[in-house]
Amino acid sequence: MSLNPYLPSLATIIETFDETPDVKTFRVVLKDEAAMRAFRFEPGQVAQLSVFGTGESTFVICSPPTRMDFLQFSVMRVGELTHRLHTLKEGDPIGLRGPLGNHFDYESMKGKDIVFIGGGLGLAPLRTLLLFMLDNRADYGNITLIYGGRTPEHLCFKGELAEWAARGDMRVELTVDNPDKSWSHRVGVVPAVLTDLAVSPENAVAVTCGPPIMIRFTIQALEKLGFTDEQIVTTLERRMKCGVGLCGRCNIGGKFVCVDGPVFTQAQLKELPQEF
Amino acid sequence: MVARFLANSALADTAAAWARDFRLLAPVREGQAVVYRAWAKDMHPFLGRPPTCSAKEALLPQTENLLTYTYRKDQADLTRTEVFVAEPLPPEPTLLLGARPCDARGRKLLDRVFLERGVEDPLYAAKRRNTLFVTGACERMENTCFCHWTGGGPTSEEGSDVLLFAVGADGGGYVAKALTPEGERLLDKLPEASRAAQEELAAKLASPPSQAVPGPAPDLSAAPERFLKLFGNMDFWMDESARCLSCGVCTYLCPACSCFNITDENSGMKGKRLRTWDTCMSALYTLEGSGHNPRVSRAHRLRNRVGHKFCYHPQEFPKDAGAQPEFSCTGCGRCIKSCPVSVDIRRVVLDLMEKGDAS
Amino acid sequence: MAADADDRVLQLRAAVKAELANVDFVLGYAKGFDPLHATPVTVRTEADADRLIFDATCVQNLATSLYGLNGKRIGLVVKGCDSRSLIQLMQEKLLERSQLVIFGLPCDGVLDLAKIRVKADIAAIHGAEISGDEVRLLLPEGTKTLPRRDVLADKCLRCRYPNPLVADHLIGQERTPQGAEDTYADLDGFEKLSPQERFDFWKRQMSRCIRCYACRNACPLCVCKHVCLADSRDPHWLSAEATLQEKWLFQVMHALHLAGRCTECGECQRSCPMGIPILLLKRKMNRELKEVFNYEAGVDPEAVPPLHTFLMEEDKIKDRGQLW
Repeated sequence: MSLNPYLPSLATIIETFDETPDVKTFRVVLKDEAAMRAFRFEPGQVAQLSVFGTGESTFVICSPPTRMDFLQFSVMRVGELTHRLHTLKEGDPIGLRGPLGNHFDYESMKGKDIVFIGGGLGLAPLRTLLLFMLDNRADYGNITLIYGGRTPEHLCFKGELAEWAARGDMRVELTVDNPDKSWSHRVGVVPAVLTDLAVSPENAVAVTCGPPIMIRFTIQALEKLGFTDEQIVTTLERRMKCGVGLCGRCNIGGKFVCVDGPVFTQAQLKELPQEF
Repeated sequence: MVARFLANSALADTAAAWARDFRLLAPVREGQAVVYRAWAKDMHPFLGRPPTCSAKEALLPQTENLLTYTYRKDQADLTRTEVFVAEPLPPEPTLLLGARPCDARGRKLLDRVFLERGVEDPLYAAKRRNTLFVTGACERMENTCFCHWTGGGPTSEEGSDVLLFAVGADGGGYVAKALTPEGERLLDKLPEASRAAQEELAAKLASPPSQAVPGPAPDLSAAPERFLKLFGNMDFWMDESARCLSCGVCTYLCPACSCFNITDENSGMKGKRLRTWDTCMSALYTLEGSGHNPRVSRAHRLRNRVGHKFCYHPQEFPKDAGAQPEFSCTGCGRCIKSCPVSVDIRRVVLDLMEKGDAS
Repeated sequence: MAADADDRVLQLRAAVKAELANVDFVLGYAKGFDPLHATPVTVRTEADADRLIFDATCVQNLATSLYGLNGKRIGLVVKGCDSRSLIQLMQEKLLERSQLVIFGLPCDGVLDLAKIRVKADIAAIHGAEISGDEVRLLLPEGTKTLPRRDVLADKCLRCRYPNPLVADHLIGQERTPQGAEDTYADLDGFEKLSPQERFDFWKRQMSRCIRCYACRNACPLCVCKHVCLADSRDPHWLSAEATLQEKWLFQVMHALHLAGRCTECGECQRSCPMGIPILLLKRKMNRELKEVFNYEAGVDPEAVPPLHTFLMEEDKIKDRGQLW
């Protein structure tokens, strides 16, 4: 592995499938088998995926470090790079720079009840921590997942949602804004469901990710339920380029989202200049 | 180290000799601009005015390759492709002639970002190790100079390998002072400076500049705190930024600005990944794929630029208590001089010092 | 000229104060960082209005600041050349006349600092006195007096529209135009060079370009601003590489996009920190427009720019009949 932080490792896409009309999941392995075996990362860390000739973008590694057959990325098609990425198929080469950024402080979450609150593709960073915790189940208390999307079609990881609900050791509450005929779960926005469920802040940590407006109302709801700033964890997005704190672009005040984030507690966010 | 003398009449030949061992960049006049050009025969280096651009292009070129790549189809199965990636070649030794002390200090601020923040940037590091600065000390300060506000000065030695002081003695030329062993090696073929030249220099340095143009430096030690106090005051930032054109003049001419963009340029089956200067003053800078832009207005962007230089940087690289904060600004004044609408960052800082006062 | 200089500033301030209640704010000029520099300023209060100046240092074209101010009612201080930008924007329906309260200042010309710098070192200037015939520069080494005509901008020397063509308040006496007709003598001079010489000239000039886009952002007619083709990745016209090719392509694109729209306010060239004479390209386009369509931008609010429409039969364009 070169000391050049700009140089991606070469990787190959081994599997790709659609999650929603505009989200695709990619499973990749590093070309160098030894490097793949030696790859280490923590839940919450991200990587820059390169399509040479188009560019790079940052994506959370949404598989957990406890399952290293591949690295998984779930990508929404919004811009130049993601459009191009969506045209790639199994066997195609890409570049990967990572792991980058900080990670969820799972050590401090041990023994606590974990409340995951996700919206849309916001489930991706939560997934890595959730699976990591399920793979270390004894270390954690009650695990609850509250997850929603605009419509049933827009939910990610649909197959897994059913699996998780069927497990006996975690609770899954699903909701959509606009149900279809076959929808049998809740209806309503995620923050409203959170409030209805009145989750207790007692010895709990809330980890939330989703569209900015959902996060804003979710955090308000959590505060109303009595969660302190240290008990609320989220991930931030910013336009990124170098991913290693050199290009200057992703700063919020003196912090860089690519190095000091993307994981932040609400306490840490309140110390930053409010520029979101 | 012994002071040497570089006669005006010997400048071209000395530069030519240096150009045999280095890629020499020297300032030349082109119209009303003074720009660095790679040394060529019959070039007349012009040291009489600060160059229009900062010297950062020697260490952080406006464009450089981060890597090159080639796709090749698998001949056995044409639906499969492989990609091969190559790193750029190492840089050649470079000598930058004719910058000013404010430019040389700028490279210390660039070091903070590219060498000291966390990850080391190998392209910058390689150039940094390989680049010498032969800097011209300033004989006077201009209306736009404020190097003394940010810990610098017209004869500051920070960041230079050689400092040249203009004198009239011995037919006119420069007393050349080596500041590093590499600088000393550069000067070893030059004659020693005469007593007359050295005495003339000593007299010049002892007396203050010919006019009190910029006035004494204000106390900016509270700038980081005052900035944060005014952070949410959008009326303040809107008024300060109302004239701004959102171009890139200030950032591109600044010795301390280093933000860059990374883009791929494709040409058939091969291409390159470029690093190019970028400007936080552009509306595109923080525009996210979703369409959300945390810095949607010029007020937000000017606030970030001033904040980065006078608050975030000093907080990231704190000095000892009582010492002047380290601002990401060398007071060269290029942003003021070349701004099409005369945005004056000194005015913004003084305004925020006044309005951000606790009382 | 000089006779009404101070009076006019007072009249301007009074007129602005009287309109403050009718607008969100007024854009005008205030003193800049030294005696030869003015800077645009937003006026919201009477105290702000007392900072307003108007003299030969007021070079900026404030029409460029109107971008993005839809829905607001703005007061604007304009010279003759600036008013042409307003008219062009109105012709293209990019500006509503009712959105503006225009303070028109008949103009005696503005200083070209590049010309002054050839004759005097103004980097440490501490005073300037501008009269009808002279510019007195108070410099550290002594006073230098230059004939005013020698240091006015070229556009002023050939100016045929010193009086704003549109205004709610015309402040001061009308001026007689400095120039009778634009003979494009500068273009003729340049076009005496061979194509190779011209190419070498532009190669040398454009090599200094730092792609700051000050020229684009200072132009009042460049309303694309940051969705400009130059920055677009889709379609991908320009790379970010700082090569002659990319720099030159941008300038050509810019000139072509301004054909029939550019009023030669000269801000593009003035804003260039590297002193590249890009106004020449726009003047070339404008001469072509004059010859082919007999059209001059920004003069008649009712006119339609020729490149915004077409005629089945053009007077000056030979169709060469039908060619199969």
